[in-house]
Amino acid sequence: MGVDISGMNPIIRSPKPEYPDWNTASQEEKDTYFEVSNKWEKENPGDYFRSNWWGWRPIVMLVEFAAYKYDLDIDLSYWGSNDGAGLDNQEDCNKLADALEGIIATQTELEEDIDTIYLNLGSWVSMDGKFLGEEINEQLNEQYPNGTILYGSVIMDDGSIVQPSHSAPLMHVKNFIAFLRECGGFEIW
Amino acid sequence: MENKIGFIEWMQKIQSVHYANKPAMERALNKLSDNDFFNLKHK
Repeated sequence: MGVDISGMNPIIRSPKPEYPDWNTASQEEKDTYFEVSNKWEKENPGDYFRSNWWGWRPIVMLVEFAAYKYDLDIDLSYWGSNDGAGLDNQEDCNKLADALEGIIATQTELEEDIDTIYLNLGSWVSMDGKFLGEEINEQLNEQYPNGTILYGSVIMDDGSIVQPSHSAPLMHVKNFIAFLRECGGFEIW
Repeated sequence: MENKIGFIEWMQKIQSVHYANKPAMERALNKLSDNDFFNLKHK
């Protein structure tokens, strides 16, 4: 569950690798396909961007703040759902990409690709991704009110480590920015 | 731009209710009320 976002008119540098026949392909052929496909995606970032909801919501929050901070004339309706919203031209995509880079540099602590921004939107998980009980969740939301931004996990009194469910490593945000730079517009599905 | 609040303060104000989800929530509520209407009408 999440978003699938395809570029409307992406810059394509080479033909997209074709799917092998999954019924007859050997494991080696499948592995080769994934390897070639990953390489192709990196070389053609405007073709497609995907995210689960937990990683997409922080990106949308950054986009909303970027739009506010840089006075971008962007309609953000339905960016949080699979309804085909988005931007329909490269010019707006470039403006948003510039604004996001500005926000990351001046408003966040994100520097290395693995640096992660956690946004408390009301839900917490343990380090192995399991949701916490309602009582612990409420206790954490009291201590860290909704909207709190963190750059690391929280250590509980019992020594357990927890973190907000919504998070995005810098690499994930950078991938979205790279997508924006070359997508030619996009729809969020 | 200089007079605008920063990301931390903005997030504190926005909290978990972010604009992007609002229309979807409204639409879901509308659908619900439509269904209620449908159910009433066809009782």
